[in-house]
Amino acid sequence: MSLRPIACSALAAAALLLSQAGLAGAPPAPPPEAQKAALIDLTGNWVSVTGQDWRYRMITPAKGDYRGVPLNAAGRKIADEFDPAKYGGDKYQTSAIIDCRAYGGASLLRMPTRLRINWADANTLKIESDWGEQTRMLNFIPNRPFADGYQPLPMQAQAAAAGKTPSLQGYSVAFWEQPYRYTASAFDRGPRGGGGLGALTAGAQQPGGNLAVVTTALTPGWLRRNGVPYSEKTTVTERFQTFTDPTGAQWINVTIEVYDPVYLTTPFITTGDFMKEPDGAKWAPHSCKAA
Amino acid sequence: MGTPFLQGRVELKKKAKDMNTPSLKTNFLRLLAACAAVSAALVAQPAAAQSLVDGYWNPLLHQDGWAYAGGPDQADFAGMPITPAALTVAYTWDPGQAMLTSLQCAPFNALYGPRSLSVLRIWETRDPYTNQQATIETQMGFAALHRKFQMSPHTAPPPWTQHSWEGYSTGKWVGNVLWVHTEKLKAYSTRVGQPFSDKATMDERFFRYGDVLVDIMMISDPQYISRPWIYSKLYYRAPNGNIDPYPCTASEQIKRPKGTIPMHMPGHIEVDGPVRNGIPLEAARGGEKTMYPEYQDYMKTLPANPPLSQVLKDQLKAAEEAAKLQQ
Repeated sequence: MSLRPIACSALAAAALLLSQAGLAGAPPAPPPEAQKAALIDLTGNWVSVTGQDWRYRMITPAKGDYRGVPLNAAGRKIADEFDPAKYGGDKYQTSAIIDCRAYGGASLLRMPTRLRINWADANTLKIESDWGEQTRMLNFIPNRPFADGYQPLPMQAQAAAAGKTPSLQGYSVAFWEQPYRYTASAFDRGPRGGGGLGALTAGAQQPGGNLAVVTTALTPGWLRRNGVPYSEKTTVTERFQTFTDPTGAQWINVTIEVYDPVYLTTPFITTGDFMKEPDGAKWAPHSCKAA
Repeated sequence: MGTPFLQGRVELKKKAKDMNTPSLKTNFLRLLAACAAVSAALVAQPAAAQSLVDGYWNPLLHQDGWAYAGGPDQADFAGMPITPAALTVAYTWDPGQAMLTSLQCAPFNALYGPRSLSVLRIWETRDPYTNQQATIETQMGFAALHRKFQMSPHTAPPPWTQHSWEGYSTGKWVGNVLWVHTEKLKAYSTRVGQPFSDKATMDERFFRYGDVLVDIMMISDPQYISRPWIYSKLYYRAPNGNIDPYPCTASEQIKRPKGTIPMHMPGHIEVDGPVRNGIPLEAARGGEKTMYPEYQDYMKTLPANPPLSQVLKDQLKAAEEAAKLQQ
């Protein structure tokens, strides 16, 4: 009897198993610190590139223009109280006099600004903006860097954020979100616990991942710089993802979901795009107008 | 006794004891080389892709909704990396062109289709033998735009591929992110007249976060934009989604002399849209510089726009002169 087919199969299977494990890079257990467990690298200097909703972000929209925001009657009433005279009078749309409330935790990453992102410590990611001069701290729960993937994110963040003092940037709880794991084959072949390609891929970790952030404990702020409001009951869920464009430039895309039971009829979902810069040479602090 | 597999293992062990003879060593090396080739072939197969995006998706109108619904304002290119050459072309464009009977049923192309106010349907086709994804297809309700992503790793467009509205797309999964590259597109003008040449390409990344789908579109065009134009389209999952048929019958919808081609003479672009929204006319000319935060400082130095009433009066006068020329 020739040994070649059997030995070859065994070695091939072993090679496949090793390569799957190596390529997938499945972590045996969550590392204790978020910085070490990072699935993507967000650190560095970034500039927002405003190619969407330019008229609502780069200039102050006209008073009463809240198109696109699922604002209810109470919210519209507050937005209509915006006073252009406080922000440059006739030229309020291009005066660049911007109320600090437009840089609140629910809207900071929609504003045209540069960002500096660093690890403040092993479990805290710090985001600073030059326009508005704001600082956000994204707090990972110690020894729990990953979201569990089963409970809604706001529920996972609830305990960590409980009792925090409300502020313009609120309190942010962060998690790394791992991609879905491969599902096990329903008909694993071979002896129980081995054999069959389905069994080999089951449970293997896929590459990639993103950062999820849940922010609560916010003071009232603005979704747009013309006074479109959000309330202190707002919860913001953000997903940060990185990608590279065809020129090789690195980007962050953040998807921002604002849930406000007071002024919004549905969650308000938008995105922000930031391109990496080599250094902080263009960092230009601009203060905002205190409310 | 035992299974053939176990018998094989016993025999293999026995043979392994005699491995120090030169002939067996040679055989083993041959065997190893053969196995390496088999292993490489197995490993080279694409990982089982996750179909995370199948189903119906409603467009979210929270950003750029005004452009999806009513259409963008003419002469508003703020925030677009449009080149001067593209601007020259765009300034002769008239939205009335889309109402020509010859163009009424033309679909948006792949670069612009996602900016329509449409339900999106995504579905996959798998190879029945390998269970690997062969294609992922998308359709949008408006104009029944149909795209097909070739998921096989060996399906780059052959050189003779014709250019089409939706182009030729290849896709792959990187983790749970769908990467799509599209080329071989027909030249196209958007609803605001932004031209794209037939050299334009698009790279996309589809992310799914729960019920939210994000399509990041990176459009490159060496002829008409100065850098990749990054654009995110958002969708929300529609469990009971539906796309109605889209029969299109062309008909004259605007009364105008036969043979009229709507267009603007150079210098006669209508700018009331940007003026209504308070967008400085210089910013409305677009260009890469309008996309960065420092442009907010620059806009402080720009002169105020002319009053809307004056703009409308000038436009009316220009339209009357153009009508005279056509008679």
